[in-house]
Amino acid sequence: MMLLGAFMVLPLIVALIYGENSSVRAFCLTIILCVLPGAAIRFFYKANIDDISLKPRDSYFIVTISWLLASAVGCIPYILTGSIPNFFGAFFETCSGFTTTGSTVINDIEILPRSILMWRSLTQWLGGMGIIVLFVALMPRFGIKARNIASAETPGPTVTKLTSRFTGTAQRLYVLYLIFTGTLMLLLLAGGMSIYDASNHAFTTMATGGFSTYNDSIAHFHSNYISWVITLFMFIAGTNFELFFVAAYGHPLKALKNEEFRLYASIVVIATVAITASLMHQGTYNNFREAFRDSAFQVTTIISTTGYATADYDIWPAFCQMVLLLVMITGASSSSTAGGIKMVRVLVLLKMIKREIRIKLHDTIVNDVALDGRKLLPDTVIFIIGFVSMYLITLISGTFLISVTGQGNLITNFTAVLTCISNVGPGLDLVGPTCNFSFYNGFNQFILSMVMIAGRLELSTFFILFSRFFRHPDEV
Amino acid sequence: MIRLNNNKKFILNIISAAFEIYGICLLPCITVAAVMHEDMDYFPLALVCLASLIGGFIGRRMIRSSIHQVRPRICYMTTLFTWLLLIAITVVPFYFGIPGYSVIDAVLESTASWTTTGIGVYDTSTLPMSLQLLRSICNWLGGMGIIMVTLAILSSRKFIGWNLASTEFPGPTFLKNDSPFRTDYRKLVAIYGALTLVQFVLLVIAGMGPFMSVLTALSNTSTSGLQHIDNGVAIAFSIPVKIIITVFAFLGSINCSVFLLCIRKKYRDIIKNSELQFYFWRVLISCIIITVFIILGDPEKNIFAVFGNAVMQVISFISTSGYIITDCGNWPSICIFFILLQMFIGSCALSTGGGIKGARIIILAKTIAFTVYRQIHPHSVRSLTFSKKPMKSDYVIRANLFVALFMITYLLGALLLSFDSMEVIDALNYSQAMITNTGTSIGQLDMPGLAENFTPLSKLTMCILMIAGRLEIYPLLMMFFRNFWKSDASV
Repeated sequence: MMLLGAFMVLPLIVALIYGENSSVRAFCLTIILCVLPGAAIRFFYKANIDDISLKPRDSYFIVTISWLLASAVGCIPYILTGSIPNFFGAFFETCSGFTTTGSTVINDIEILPRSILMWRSLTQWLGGMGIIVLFVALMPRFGIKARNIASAETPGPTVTKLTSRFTGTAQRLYVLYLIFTGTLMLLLLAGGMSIYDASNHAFTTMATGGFSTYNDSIAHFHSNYISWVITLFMFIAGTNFELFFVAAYGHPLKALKNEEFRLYASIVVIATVAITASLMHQGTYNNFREAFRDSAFQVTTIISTTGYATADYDIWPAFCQMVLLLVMITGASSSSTAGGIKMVRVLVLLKMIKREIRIKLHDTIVNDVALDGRKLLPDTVIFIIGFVSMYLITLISGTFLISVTGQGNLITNFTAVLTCISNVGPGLDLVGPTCNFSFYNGFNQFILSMVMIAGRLELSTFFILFSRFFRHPDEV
Repeated sequence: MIRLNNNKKFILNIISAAFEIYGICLLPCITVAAVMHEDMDYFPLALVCLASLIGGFIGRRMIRSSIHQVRPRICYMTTLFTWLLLIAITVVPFYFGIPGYSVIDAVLESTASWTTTGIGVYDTSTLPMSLQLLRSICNWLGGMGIIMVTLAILSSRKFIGWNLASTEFPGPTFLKNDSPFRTDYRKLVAIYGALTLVQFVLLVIAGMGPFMSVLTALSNTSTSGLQHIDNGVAIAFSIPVKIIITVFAFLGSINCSVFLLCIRKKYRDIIKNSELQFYFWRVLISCIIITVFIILGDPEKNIFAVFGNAVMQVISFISTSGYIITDCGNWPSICIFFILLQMFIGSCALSTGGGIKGARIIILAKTIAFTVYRQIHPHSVRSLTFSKKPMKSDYVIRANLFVALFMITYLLGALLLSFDSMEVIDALNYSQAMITNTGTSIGQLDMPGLAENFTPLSKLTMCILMIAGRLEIYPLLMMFFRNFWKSDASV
């Protein structure tokens, strides 16, 4: 019965997505394909909803399957319009959209029909807040049960309750997301973009996705104003959204004191300064303001795992590339639309190391790890450390898998997997900011798509499906 | 005279003893220098030797501590200072003995010798004989752990010994019955001595020159790579020599408790040891993968020859020795990636090799499975096991944390190295080669184990990485924490 519940949810989500997009002609067929079964299944199983209490296992299943299915269905438009003729390419592109990665297999974006590009940006926007959070917010009757699903979905280890009912929280987050998107759209319009460009870029910025409607991304606009506005909003998108509520409820200082936010902000500042200094020192740029603008933009775009480009950092000095590589691994804050390991985990990790040293030196002292003044339970710590380990292993095995076919060199493959697992977009060398993933064959594109989804769903949610204990729930 | 408290006396006492041993070990180098009329090296070597002998002797006799239990902090201090001071004093002969060496070059050479990293500033085989011998001796002492050697020779330290030795050989130790205890380090030193001796004899029989055999035996047992032979490129050797080298590099890289268990005739425990099994499978699977991909690329080749070569090369890198024994530069990139991966994992805990160590990777994999399991059954009370024994969650966290720390150090090292406008991939490769104490990166075969073109900043970074890798990071990192300098009472 639980499985039935799960299956019921899936097409419904998809139907909702397409329902919103109904103005676009080319999608009619897809919409019909999705809405009908979705509505039918929903109608037939309506009665059962209230009786279902979701076990963790089921919520993981729902989440993972819905992302996979959404990506599979989402690629139909690409294939139907002939934008990306082969299935794996289209699947890759849709995954990249829904997981807000922003890697592309399309060589020339500008020749594609606008509706397709709009769809592309929209997938990211939808993916950004998480299909499920969106879904939960619009389906209040799921009530408290939804919390299970969302904890599998909203990235990061700390989901503090904002309101007593989870659906309330989700709705608020969703409203916040809408407000930010709207503001950004207006600001971009003020900067001289067309409505079409502004909405596309607002969608992909807030989702930390990074799809653009131009081949040379944000560099296309040659505008300081647009660069800085987008930098600011990428930074916002990488911040823990809950902090905005804390600030809005009259504790702006409390929000600033948040340890994760502090680490996030200081890493952005340090990385920007380091890159600017290196660029000026090596003579890549002559103009300080340009160097500063581009490095601030690139650092924010990578750390928030957006992946726009204003400059080709592939030709920057290796030091800058290493800095970008590092922030690609860390990612931004938890409870944001960003990917990567997440700042809060990095923070706990560093605190753990410090604690380890204290304990090694003075074996008699008691020392607990605290975050924002609250003690962390050993279980949480193991989960955080387990996550970091899983991240490393996925990174390595992913690189291994796509190296098997002999395509690309080591650094290309490594950064390709890294960029996918962190949901960033561009990597280094052959997958650098001016290049794309089209040279990979179908197998590799499929692997990379899976890595993206795994990264988006915080790895364990995805890998649980392959666990022996998942298939045999009663075995312990 | 300055009044010293017991802790300081203890530290100084151990350091003095280490210096005494070092001084004695320098005697053969001086002899070689005298016999070969290497005048430039004779005086610095003699000076250093004399200084360490006298200093060590006086220190050991004069400063006696009546300490019975040592705090961990003091152990870490002892290890760290002994290593840093010995590296510092070894700089002298390299600096004065080789024309054209800057201070940082000499520091790099000395650090590489002590940390068993197979890298040199210039081609080591062109150095004076006495200095080559010095390198090999430092390799040997460093590989086994100078503290370990010191403890074996000092008689009065039986009770606190293991505490101290474990700061030098930190690796994850689990099973009480196969961790060395009390007098066991004497046996260990004897075992490694015997291994070296046997290897020397075998090499001479196989037709290598006696002096060359000494160098090879000393540096191969300590898995430092064969720097004295054409910078570690051993392609030209005859097959028996290659086999001998491979076998002993392998022996050097397995957990030393295996030898102890052998002596106690507990063969069943050896076979059951999951780290050893893992190590064995890693070697085998790597070889098979490499063979398959090479054969796929060129079906004409003899499968047995390819497999044999793969075994030798894999052991070279998995034991973090890093000598080149076949034409692995032409291998497909997937094989190279796989070897790089094995280099990270490195050899077994409690061996002369470097890297993250197999036992930790086993725990890592189990933690991941455990995390997944706990998410499906959030209320379960099952715990992780290693070699079928349950593990404390502290151990689990510690092992995982070390892997993370290792990766952080590796990435930050690469960041510093990339200052030199190296390519990103080179920076990553070199950082890895340094922190695993391998010295040669398999991606760098055109210029194996040479650092002459680097800037002083990079050389310094490399030195820090090497020491960090050898002492498993923590002791070095501790230096920068206030707690390190404070006594227990004041924390």
